Amino acid sequence: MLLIPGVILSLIFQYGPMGGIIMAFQDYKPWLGFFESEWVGLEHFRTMFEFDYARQVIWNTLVISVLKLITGLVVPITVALLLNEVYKMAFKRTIQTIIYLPYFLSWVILGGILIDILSPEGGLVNMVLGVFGIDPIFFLGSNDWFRSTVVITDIWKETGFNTIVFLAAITAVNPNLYEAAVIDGANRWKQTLYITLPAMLPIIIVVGTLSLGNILNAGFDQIFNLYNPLVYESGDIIDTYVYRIGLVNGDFSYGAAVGLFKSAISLVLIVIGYRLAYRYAGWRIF
Amino acid sequence: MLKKPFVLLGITMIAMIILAACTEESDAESEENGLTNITTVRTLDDGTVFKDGEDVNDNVVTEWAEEELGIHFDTVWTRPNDEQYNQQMRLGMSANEPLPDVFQVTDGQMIADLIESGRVMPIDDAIEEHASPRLKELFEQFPEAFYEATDEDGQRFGIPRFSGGNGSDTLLWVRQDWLDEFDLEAPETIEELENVMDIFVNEDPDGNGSDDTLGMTLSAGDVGFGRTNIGDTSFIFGAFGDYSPGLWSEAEDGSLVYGSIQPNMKEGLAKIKEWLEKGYISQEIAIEPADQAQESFVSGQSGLMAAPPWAFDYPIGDVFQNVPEAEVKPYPLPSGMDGQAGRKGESLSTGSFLFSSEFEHMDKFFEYLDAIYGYTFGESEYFEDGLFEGYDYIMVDDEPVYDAGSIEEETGEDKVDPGRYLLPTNVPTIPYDMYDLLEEFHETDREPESAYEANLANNKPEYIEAAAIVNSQNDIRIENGFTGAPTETMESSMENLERLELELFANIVYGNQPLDAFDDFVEEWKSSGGDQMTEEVNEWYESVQE
Repeated sequence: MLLIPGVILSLIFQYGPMGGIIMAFQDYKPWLGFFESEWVGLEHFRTMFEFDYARQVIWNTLVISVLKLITGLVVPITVALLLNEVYKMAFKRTIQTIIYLPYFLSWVILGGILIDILSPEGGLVNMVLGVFGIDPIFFLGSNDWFRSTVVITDIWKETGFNTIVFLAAITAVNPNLYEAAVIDGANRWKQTLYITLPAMLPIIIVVGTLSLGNILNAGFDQIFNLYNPLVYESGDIIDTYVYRIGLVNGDFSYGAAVGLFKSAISLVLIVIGYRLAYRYAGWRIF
Repeated sequence: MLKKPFVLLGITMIAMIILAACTEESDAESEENGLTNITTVRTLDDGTVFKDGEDVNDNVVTEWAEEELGIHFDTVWTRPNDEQYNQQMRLGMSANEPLPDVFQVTDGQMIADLIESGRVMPIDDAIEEHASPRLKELFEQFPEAFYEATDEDGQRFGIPRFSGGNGSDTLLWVRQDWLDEFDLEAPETIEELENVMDIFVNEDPDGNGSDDTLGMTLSAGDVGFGRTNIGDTSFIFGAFGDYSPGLWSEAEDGSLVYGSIQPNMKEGLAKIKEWLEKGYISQEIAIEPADQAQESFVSGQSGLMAAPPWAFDYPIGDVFQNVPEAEVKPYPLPSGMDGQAGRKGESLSTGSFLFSSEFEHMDKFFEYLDAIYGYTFGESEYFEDGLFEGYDYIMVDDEPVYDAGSIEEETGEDKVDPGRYLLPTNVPTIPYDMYDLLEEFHETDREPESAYEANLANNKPEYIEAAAIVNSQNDIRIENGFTGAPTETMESSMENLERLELELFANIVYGNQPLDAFDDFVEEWKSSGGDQMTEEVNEWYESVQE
């Protein structure tokens, strides 16, 4: 009984709008609505593959998300492990708070700040590099650097938040295990390797599988606020492409088609990821 | 427990019904008072200042309209910019909400969609029947302004919201104190411009001992070359030929061609590339959007910037806070070899007023439009001394005074422009009229003859001079001939072609691709839909000209 309001709400607000997907197969006109717009079949999908560009956009999206997925796991885990070794409570708390701070800034604000900081003329980062005799790097205007810049700034923003989850997992490890290991002669490194990491494995897999759901969300907010024509080649992703087509140019149907295609790939990736997690870690939700 | 959500839902619904009833009531009420109710929606940017206690639905203008014209304006919603406004309009269209009686649309696609939907009214008859002679004359003077809201059969659906004509055309703003320091004349040609930039960059004009100055502020980030007013780049391309990036302009045979694929783009890009290499312009030209690029000029690091006359107030005005000794003067845009020059010309209209097909009071709308245009024409029964006393003018010894200082002293508040409250969100304009007048004031001793003229003549001298300069260079305008809705091929290919263009232009300027890549781009542009687009654009052009 208590479930009923929830079910009704999700039917109305989650499943109802999904019907809108049919506009991807129509020449959708807002005033005609779904029932009277003309059907065009797979026309929009055909258009999509006629342009080399669509393939490039899909590739960019994949590369950026996979890089973010991996670094988004590795870095917070490392930071959590390192923080765990810190015994001065005050110091640990301070560090935690500092790396947590950027999480609260939106990409709209960060976009402006980063353009300034990363500027090749007088930007903070390049000034520091200059001290070491390195020529200024055009982080936001070079196809060689753009993806790395996106991934690193994303880590800088998100690490603090993700670290908390892993720190929580570490504190849940039974202290007796460490005491036993010390008696067996294990040093700190061995303790980490054989006790802490295995104990964290389930949570790592949960977080990893959950982020698979976002695998094709390479981060619209971030890219949108940082990209420019110079780096379209390496930085334009499906979401920014759909935004320009659907909302800026008002071509809803084509935008919906590209978006739907994205969801289809995501689904395949999630299924694969889930299978792998089950096979190699014996972990499953259903 | 179970009932709570439903109770909440119920309360919300009741509240909504009451709210709805309230608005209906006020409509009914206004009709009882003999007022004509006109619903509208509008953009209202954050810069619009309302005096104490006033808002968009209740201010000195709405009061005047009720008392004098018997029109009650009901602004259903407002959005702070065109982008959000367009989104809200689209949402309303998708949800089949009733259209407001009168509303302004700037987006060509949306105008076309609305016309196709059959929910907006054709207005040819209404103009014929209700427009005053002086409005008809104005409409006949600028038929091109109607093109964007005209269907294939030549039927018109929109009243253009006229722009200043050349109001946002650009000229060169120069740091006069830097010129004087090195005994330089203002540059008249591209060569002289390069000479000036060279000195500005290498001779430390700000005298702070470090190598931190730029020759010129240009902006091409975000939307590409030649598409912004502040830090405008169009004159660089214009110095080499009669086309500007992104504009469909008339070729010699009278047909429309796309500017970005014309040969003078190549020469313009080569120039910009050269300047970038020499450090005359910011390394970030293709990254920074205009509002960020302008910082270099405003902070006193750059000596030149192409921008419209109105830019003297903002952003240029901010430079005086950062560098108190700065002196900024307007000059004509420099020309290339053989005196060839060109600048991107503003379009004749910024959007059109459309009318719901259910709207019944076109007579009232035209009465309103004619009344406020009376002020601009200088023949008004309502605004003889100015728009509204205490807002844009005050009376001192029975004489109107327009100067901001005196008004602020008298009223104790900042001078407020009530033109912003009007339905076109500004004092209505007649294309080219304003800068014509300003040029006259600048060149001659003619006294202002109407409140509108007096208000104009009260502007800052730099602004008036800039307007005169822009007006004197009207012969170099490069106009956009295509104002229709996106054609079929545009809808499917424009995004890809534009991206191709933005990417290539940026890469050429940064030396990532050789200059000759431009030729390949032209070929690719033509074969991937460009030729077809050109054909469709010209079909449209012929259809509206009939």
